[in-house]
Amino acid sequence: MHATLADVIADTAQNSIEAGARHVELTIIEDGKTIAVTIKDDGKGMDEATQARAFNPFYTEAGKHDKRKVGLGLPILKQICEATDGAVSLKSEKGVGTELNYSFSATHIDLPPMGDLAGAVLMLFNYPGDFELTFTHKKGESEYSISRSELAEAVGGLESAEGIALAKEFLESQEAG
Amino acid sequence: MAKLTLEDLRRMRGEKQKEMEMRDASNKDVQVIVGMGTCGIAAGAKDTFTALVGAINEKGLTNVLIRQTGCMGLCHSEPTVEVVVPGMPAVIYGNVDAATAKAVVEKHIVGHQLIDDKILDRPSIDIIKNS
Repeated sequence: MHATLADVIADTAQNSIEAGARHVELTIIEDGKTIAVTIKDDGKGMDEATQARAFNPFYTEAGKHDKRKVGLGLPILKQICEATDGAVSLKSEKGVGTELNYSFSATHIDLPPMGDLAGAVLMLFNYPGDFELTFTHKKGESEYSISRSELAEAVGGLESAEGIALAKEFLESQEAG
Repeated sequence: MAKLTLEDLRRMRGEKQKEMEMRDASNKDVQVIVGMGTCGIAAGAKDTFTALVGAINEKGLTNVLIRQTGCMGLCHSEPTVEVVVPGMPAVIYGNVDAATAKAVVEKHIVGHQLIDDKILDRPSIDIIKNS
């Protein structure tokens, strides 16, 4: 379904936005051996029964598609983590929020390529709705952090072509470092 | 590539704004909505999005809002793009690759002509009932 890690990361972070989060923190830490991702939100959260079913591909929260009976985001994430000597864990409390942690072995032969991370993060920032998203990427010695509100302020809004193009240039310059 | 700072972005935006002021900047009355569900992304919607942004900037259009939405129930024809231009019917285009995205900007938004062979029907009935 997703050919690159960037799309998997964007897909799982999008869950937080769709869960009504006002604040989402997306953090990626790469140390050469492991790629570790944390997504923390203050969305609607899940009770224990829902958490237990979250990795079941035949379970989904109704909403986007009333008649759809599958939810493949987390099951596919789990599959990739397990295939690459990684791990995935979910902590959630109903009404409080959710924290999703996952990792992959950076050197595993079955690890999908990272792909266009700058583009994927740009999509998250451009996602409609009134929410704050802070993205932090630490790769070896280099690290940067940017929030949706500061980026939108700097480029004059993330819904105009000129604003999106500037934001893209910024994210690509950071990722290139 | 040198790393850009937020200050760089503000300066670049200021320069762009000066350019924009030279043109007739009206309100943003055109909307371009890209389907960015899993199905859209798997079919290349990110490239479509980038091509749309590039073409709109290239034409110097300042009246276009670019938004994204989830799956519109037209997964078989992703990437899909809805274009809303005043005085024209709201249209959903399907199979919008980068070349088609450019044509959407040049022919539909600028030229006010529909691209007949890329038009899809309205979204699926179950999606319409939900909206």
